[in-house]
Amino acid sequence: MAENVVKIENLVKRYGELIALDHLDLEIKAGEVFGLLGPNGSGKTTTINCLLSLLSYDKGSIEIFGKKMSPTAYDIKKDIGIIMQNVAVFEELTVQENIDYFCGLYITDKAKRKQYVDEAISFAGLEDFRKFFPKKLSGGLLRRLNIACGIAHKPRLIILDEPTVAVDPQSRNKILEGIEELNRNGATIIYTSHYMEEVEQICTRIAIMDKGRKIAEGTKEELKTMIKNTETITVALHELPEKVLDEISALSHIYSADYTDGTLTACCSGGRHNLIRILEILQKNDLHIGKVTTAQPTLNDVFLEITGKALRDKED
Amino acid sequence: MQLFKLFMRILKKKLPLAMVYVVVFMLLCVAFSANGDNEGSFEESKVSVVITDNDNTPESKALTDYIASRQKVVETKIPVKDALFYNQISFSLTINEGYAHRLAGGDTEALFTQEYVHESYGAAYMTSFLDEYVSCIRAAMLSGEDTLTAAGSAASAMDTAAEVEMLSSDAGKLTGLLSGHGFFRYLPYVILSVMMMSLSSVLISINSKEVRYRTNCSSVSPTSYVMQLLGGSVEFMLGVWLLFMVLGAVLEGGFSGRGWLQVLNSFVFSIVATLIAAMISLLLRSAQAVTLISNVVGLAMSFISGVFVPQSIMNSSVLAVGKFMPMYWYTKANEMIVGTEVYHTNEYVQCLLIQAGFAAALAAVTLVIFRLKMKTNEN
Amino acid sequence: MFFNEFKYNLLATIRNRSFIFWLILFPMVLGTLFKAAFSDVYANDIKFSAIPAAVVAQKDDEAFREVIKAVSTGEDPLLKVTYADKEEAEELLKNGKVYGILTKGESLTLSVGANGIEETILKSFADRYLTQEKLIKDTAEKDPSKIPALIEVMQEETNSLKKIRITDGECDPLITYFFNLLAMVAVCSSVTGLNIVSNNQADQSPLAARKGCSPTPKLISTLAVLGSCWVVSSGCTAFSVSFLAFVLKINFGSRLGLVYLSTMIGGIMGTSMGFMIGSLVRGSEGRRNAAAMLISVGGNFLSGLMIADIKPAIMEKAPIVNALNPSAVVCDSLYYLNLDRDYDRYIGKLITMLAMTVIFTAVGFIFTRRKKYATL
Repeated sequence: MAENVVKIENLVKRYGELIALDHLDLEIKAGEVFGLLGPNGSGKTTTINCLLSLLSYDKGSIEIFGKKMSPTAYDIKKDIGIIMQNVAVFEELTVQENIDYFCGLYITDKAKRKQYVDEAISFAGLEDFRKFFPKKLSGGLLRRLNIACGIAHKPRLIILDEPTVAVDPQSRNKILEGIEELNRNGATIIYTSHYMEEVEQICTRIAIMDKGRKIAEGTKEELKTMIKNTETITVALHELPEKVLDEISALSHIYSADYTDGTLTACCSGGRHNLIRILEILQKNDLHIGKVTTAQPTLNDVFLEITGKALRDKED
Repeated sequence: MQLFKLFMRILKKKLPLAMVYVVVFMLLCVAFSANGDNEGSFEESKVSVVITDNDNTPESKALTDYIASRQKVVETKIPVKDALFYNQISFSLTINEGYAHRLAGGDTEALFTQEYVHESYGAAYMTSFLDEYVSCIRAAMLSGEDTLTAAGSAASAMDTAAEVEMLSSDAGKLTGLLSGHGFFRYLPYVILSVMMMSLSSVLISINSKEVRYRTNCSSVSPTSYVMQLLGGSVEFMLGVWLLFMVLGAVLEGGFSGRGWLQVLNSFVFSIVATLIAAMISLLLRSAQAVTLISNVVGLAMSFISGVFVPQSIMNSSVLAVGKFMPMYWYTKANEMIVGTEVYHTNEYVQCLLIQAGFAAALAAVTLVIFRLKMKTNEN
Repeated sequence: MFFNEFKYNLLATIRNRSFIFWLILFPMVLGTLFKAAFSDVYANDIKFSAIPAAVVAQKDDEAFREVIKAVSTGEDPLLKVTYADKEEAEELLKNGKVYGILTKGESLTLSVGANGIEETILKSFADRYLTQEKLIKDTAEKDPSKIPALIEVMQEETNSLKKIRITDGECDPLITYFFNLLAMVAVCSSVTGLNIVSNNQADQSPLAARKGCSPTPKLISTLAVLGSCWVVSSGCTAFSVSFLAFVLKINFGSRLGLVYLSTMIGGIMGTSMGFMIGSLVRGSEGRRNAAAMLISVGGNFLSGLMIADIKPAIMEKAPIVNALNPSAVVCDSLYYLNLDRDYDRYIGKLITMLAMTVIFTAVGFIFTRRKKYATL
């Protein structure tokens, strides 16, 4: 069993009447890529800020690397890299200067720092932009600079708070690959996001948060077994008589079937050949079959089922 | 009228801050007014003198008393040196020890000591005054009087006064470096500063890049955009101006006669000030830059237009530049109203019209620059 | 750590040109303006020079002409005389070419167009003439034999007044406008210090939050940032002094090095004041700007930037205000340097500036030391 890098116990944070964190417990082990997943306002960022001792909290304890975290715990802080939701770089400094500045907050040895800065620049793919000011960078490059500033000092624990907000798919992939590389090089990662695809892609363990509480925790496989849905089948149909829909609903392993807007959606729990059995019924009734899809459950389904609401708002 | 409404809504939020500026500048206004001097009818200037009597004899007392009857003998709490430098006193006189004794012996060399910082008119006047006094004592002593009696004779001889006739002069009188004309004299500086400081915070937030881009994409034309904001600004100005007029009425004890001309003059100038403030806020983005600029523009315009230092003593080439400032015309009108310059109604109206012209020009320039900026898509 | 922070903050402040630009520009603009507006004022209106007067007198009045000659020639003439007839003289007065008309008929009369010290001096001349005339008349009635002795006494130079100049400095009172201008630059340097707190306090900006997570202690990082702002503001004030002294040729006296010293310390004090304001005034940048600007403008007003007369009035009536007003302290240090031969009062003001710097900085630190925040 690997050592605990982060241990949060019974953490409570209130903003007046609002309870932002409700008796939260978390343990993150060395070498993990730990995902903190939840909708906007679920308490992810608050958790991170408490963890970093930026925010005061009402109750509970936080340990990092086995030591109690505090604003003056500089020996802990020197091993943490932080990438915030908002881009936090100096407008007036160039790419290289920004990285050197932030690295300099951690590393005083000049030669070592120079090497680290160069490595961070190539890690983020910013070689061609060393002398650029942040204003001139595209959104994706700016995010990469933001990350480079956070990881240049080679921290053991890297905390990324929604680093891919408003980033194009290419840059996003590049960032995710980078994070995996950092992990391979030995860093423990905490990653918060409301993009479940990202979390599914890179995280080895995931906690789902809602309303300041942790509502589920485990590997993505473990999480998916927590719900009864194993497969969702959709079939495009011009028409579906009530009688046929009832027939489909009556099939074993199918716990819900619904026909709206020309699409039949059937949710299955276990069983095999569910799709074939549905198609057989449709053919038997001489219905014209359009596009057919079948999907494994996603974290969104997990979330939907546990909380009864979608992970992301519709407009996101 | 969407933007006008938006302006009012944001103004409402920023009002406490704006009111802080208004109150502080009102206090400044009160301080300015308190400093204004009272120009009386024609009278002889008196020199303020600080006297140190090291002789302490009846003769030196007689001199001190005589000076007190003709000049202003003062005491100063600040060092004499500073008082001389700042023209708080014009003359520092020491009656040297042995004054009475040496005067009786006919020795007039260095009876007094004057400490001075610069050669002033007051000092020249006092020098001549003392010289005359000593001559008169010596003259009286010729007829056998003792020094103390001679001092009395000298004093009465010196009270012979020449007849002075007052002729009118168009050249205007030198009112001195530091004289003021109460509330309305300094008002343009105050109004301009208040408008710049308080309007800028509202306009900058309306005009922030993101909001402006969004507005640009809507169906509001740039002309209408600028005009609605200017309209809002002028409406805000009306409120501020009224507050200041109430203050002015209190300070001046109500307005009457030509006082109303000053009110009208200040109203026209307030519009100009608002447009200057709006132009600066619309064309610049940083709040810090705007506050610094407001400071510079307010002070520079006020100095160049003769708000702080009277137009009559300023270098004529600077005044020529001042003519390109609306504040110059405000001050000119004001100086006519208070009588520093001869009042002519048509010239007064001319001053108002020129200010109105500035207002129109400022609005037009703001609009043109704003459109240009939008075209070049500059940030 | 300190040096890294110091270096990059200095770089960032310098590159953020907008307000440095204004901080440097405005003393240039106002200084040039003052110089242009006041260049003639001292020579024309403050420093004594012979007073232009018109004299209307009979050609054959030798005695009177002799007296006029005595006062209008020589080393320090009192009058600058133009002989004219009545109409010409009135024309001259009307056009402001002369301050008064001395008309010698039966008696000596004076005509003036206004009321001021020049007119008063003309009057005192006329008075003196009449006094002497009266004395001679009286003596002629009482004892005519004493008349020659009397005239001798009257004409003899008394040399009764010994003049001692008590300063070696520039004595044009208008120089205080330039002192005030430098004080204004120093106090307005507070804008450089205003955002130190918001840039270093996690609840004020994302950048600060990021810094807050680093192992660099906050005291060190804040000091480094403050230090870099000190460099910027003292640089700006030094630039202003150079511009005034070398481009506008303002006479700051022989101790220019000390003028630099006190304005630069003034700039540092101003920055620290901004730092303190930034730590005391919470909320938006607008509020901090407003606080800094109002304190600066108010201080400048009380130290006489707008109306020079305010300064001596405050010195006399509220010396404590003058002693504690940061812009007055800067202004006074320059003024004492100009006026005094010794350094006592100058050093006093320097110590005040340093003490204020320490106090402002300390208060700033006390109010920023909180490390965790209830909200971000």
